[in-house]
Amino acid sequence: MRTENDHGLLRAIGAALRTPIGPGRKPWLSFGWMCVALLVVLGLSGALLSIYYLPALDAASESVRFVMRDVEWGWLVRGVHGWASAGLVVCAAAQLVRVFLTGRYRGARAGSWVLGGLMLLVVLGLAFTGELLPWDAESVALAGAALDGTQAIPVFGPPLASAMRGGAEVGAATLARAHAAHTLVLPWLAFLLLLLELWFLAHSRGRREEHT
Amino acid sequence: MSSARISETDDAASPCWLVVLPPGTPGPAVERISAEATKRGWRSAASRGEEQVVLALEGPRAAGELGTLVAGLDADVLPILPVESYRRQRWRRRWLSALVSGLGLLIAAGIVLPLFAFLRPPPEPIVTPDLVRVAAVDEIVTGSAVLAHFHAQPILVIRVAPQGWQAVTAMCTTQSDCLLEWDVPRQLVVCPCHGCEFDAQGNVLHPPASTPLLRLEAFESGGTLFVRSLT
Amino acid sequence: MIVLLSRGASPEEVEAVLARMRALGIPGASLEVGSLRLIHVTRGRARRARWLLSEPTVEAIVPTSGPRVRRDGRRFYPFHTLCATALGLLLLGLLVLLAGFFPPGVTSAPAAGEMAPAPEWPWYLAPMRGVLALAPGPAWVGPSLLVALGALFLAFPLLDRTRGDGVRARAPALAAGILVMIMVLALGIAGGSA
Repeated sequence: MRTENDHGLLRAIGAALRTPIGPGRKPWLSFGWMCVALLVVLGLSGALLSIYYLPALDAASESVRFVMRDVEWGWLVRGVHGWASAGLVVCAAAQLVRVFLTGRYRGARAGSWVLGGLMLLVVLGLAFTGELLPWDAESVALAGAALDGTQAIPVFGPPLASAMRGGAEVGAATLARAHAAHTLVLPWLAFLLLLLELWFLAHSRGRREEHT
Repeated sequence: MSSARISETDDAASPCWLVVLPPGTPGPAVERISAEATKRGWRSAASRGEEQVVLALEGPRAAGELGTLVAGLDADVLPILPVESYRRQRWRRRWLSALVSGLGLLIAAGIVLPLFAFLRPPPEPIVTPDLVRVAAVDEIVTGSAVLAHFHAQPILVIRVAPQGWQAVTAMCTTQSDCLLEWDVPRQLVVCPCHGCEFDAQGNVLHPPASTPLLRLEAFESGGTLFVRSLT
Repeated sequence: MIVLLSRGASPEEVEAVLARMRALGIPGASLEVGSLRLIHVTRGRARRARWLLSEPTVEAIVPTSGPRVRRDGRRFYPFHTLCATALGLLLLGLLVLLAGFFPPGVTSAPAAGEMAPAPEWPWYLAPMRGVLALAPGPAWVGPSLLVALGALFLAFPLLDRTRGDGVRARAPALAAGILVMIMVLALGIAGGSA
């Protein structure tokens, strides 16, 4: 039985999806949409990898080797995940460069710049925490160096480093926090930033059309 | 810059045309075109819809004349082709969409089938903190043993039978840091420092040792030897 | 959308097709020009007219969306979503090729008690490494400089005081930005090889 307000949101989304986009425009041929596509690929491949990954000190690197060696197509999923992350960093940076060169950060669109900058930071964070997850000798060294650098920031450096480290020394808690950041916190943050960016795009398009 | 567009047609003398105008075209403009066409010998009928205004024309004249009729308007002039052309168009579209669907199915299969293989548990178990991979089964001959490490603790893994394995700690239980060895001819664990002897299960056979060796569980899976602590 | 009926179709046949269209939710207006029998779909989802091809008197369906597409452009769904999906699949294919030809390395577990080696910074953090390497004085200068640079970067729209569009009007901001990009690149190369 349909009530009055049923499917209001779905209808609104459907109507929004069916609006024509200006003649000759190709929104899917931009760095922004490549970023979205790469985020989807990373999300899916990351979900597959997390089936086999064990975020424990002595099991992490062995589980990664397990995926590479024993799981069918595991090396491919991990390879796609790695290359997609490199591509995402490039696309996020390229999108910002393009916004800068075309001047689309001025006036009302400053919010878009800030969102893009934050997205770049989140992407770098995702890439970095991803490097830590295998927890091999290099990951441990990298974690130590990053934490030392964070510790050195005056005022809010030490508490931030302590929160990232999860204890007095780099160890199981650090890995657990890196894992939580990489698989939950940062992806949801990226998703939120994406939604904000899309809302901003739709909103500013309306305002731009008012001026013309 | 809006201008009339006249589509190509293989039948240049086709007497039937459709003029498609934007929905906001004012009525007088449509009537003007209709009147002009009638003057030049065309028969016409118009219809106003939500998305476009359509004017159907039939007459003996060629397409060029229509261009002058709709000059300056954002109009499409389409011929009404012989029915056979539309059938051919439909046939071609069906084949093209079948091809694209087939390609799409191939791509989908290329993604889904490896996915199933990925999700299927591999024959070898994943190494967890209390499970250690020792060596490939083929590397150890029946009746011999291999020295390995279980969390930095040395262990001896003995192949007592083709399908039988025993694992014991390799540190002598007489307070010394003596590394035990496997004596192949006598099939015993011996201590080179004090002469203690243990059997493959770790039981003491010869003093000065009095405490038996700690046993662990050794098993084979997927052609590889694993060791786990006994719970 | 125009529904083309057989030439000389009778009024009853035309009415039958009109009734079928009303049932499909696409009301139409019939047009008679000489022996031509046409029905113009006036409202509703015109694509539904394709179902009429099974009727005996319907010969063809002629699309008429040209002016709208020229004026408004194509809709996001279904056209642009299909394009975006195709692009996504192409991207996936490229990633699979890259993963196949340049697979990631298998990691080596840290041995207990081993001295941690000097960390090899990932390529995307090379500019950061460069800044840290070049920062003078005590240890807190480098990281603080990075935080300050990050804040400046995010606040860039506020710092841009140029007015007006066009390359000449924006020249100072553009020049500054390009200079920063070159510096980032140089720092990246320097930091990567440090």
